[in-house]
Amino acid sequence: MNNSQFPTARKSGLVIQEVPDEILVFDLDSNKAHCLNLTAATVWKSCDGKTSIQEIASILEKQSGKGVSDDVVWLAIDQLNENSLLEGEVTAKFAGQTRRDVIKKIGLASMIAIPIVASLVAPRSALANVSCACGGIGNTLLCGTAPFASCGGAPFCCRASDGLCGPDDGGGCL
Amino acid sequence: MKDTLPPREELVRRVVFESFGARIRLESNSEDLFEKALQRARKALLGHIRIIDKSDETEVDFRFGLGLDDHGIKWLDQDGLKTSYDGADFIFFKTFDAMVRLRVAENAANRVFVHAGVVGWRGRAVMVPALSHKGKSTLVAELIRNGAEYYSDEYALLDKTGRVHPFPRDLMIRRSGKDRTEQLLPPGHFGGSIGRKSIRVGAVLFTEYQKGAKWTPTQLTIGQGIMETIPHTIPVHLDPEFSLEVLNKAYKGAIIAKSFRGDAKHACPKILAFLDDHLN
Repeated sequence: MNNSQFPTARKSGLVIQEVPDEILVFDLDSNKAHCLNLTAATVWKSCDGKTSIQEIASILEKQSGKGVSDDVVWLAIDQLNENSLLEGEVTAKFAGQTRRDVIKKIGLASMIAIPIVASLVAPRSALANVSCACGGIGNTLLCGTAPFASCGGAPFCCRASDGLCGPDDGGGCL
Repeated sequence: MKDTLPPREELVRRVVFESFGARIRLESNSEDLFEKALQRARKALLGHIRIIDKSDETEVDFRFGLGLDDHGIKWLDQDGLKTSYDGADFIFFKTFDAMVRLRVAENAANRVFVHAGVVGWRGRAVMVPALSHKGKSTLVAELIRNGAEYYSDEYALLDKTGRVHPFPRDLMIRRSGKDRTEQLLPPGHFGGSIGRKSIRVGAVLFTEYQKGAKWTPTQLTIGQGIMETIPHTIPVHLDPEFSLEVLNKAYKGAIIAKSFRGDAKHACPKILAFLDDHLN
């Protein structure tokens, strides 16, 4: 159990790439990529299990030269927690409130950029880059490139609208 | 299905080749298909093939089997996943071409293949990562018409320092409207020349065709740009560490922008003006 007042950043199973003012994190377990902006990155790097939320707010103040409330740190912690980038479970500070409401509330008062953790699921297969690569049935892979794709038969076809396999969305099939 | 694959001893022809550091085994129960496939692979990989050996022992990154079943229907086996094709040869080999490029792209050593159109402009690479059918080749063709050097309409090949190498296959141009036929056209058809040297990335444009849209670019940070590129980065699921490191090096100092665009002919001058404003 992680003491949420002294959060610890997860290190295992992650590929970390620092870019100017941001950190990219690739989670090998979930196959998700995350981009932490400067505020979120600073909070995450400060999560060593020994530094308190208040101290992390001070670190942000020092970095930005502006006043930073604990809520800004908590907003980062909530997002990091949600994306499994912290060790153990951290109790959400803003439970019951929408992210939009929280950002609105904090954003208006904050002098620094609000923390953002943007995430996406990376493709598990290179086939995601091939048009009409529809996966398989059993061991049989049904794939091809438009307009010769095999999409597994009706109701699926290689859609003209996006070149992907799916039911005809009204735009016709290739 | 896997259980319908012929026994190994029936695969009368086999070879292991290397392309961009990826080792691929090609084997077949048909002399004729084997010869055609090897020839197609050579063409699909723009001649970047080195035959290693013909033994069954060499360790490989990926295996292609292809052949004919008892009914004369062609099959393509990719590391145990089998597809049958009872249509014309060109359908079969069109799929094989795309797959052999993709599997080399996935397993290449010291190269990161990004699914993207690439041109050279003012000595820098302009990358346009996008899925197929989003107007990538059409935009690349239009940029060539306007004086850009052709690098690729399919893959940006990034080396470990982040420089882009040419992969100048003929451009795959799809007609719009109901008649969506495809045509492979050499870059010369658009009046352009082919880039021969590796170059640094100057710009990364995330742009898709949308009817009536205007080119109104929003600038992205390097992190945002890499996030947008991840879905188009072929080896990212096999080697995320190397992929991210290379993208980071490649995008350093590049202008990264995102916008929908309308017709390529109208958008192209605006895109080039944008590049002229931003490329150092």
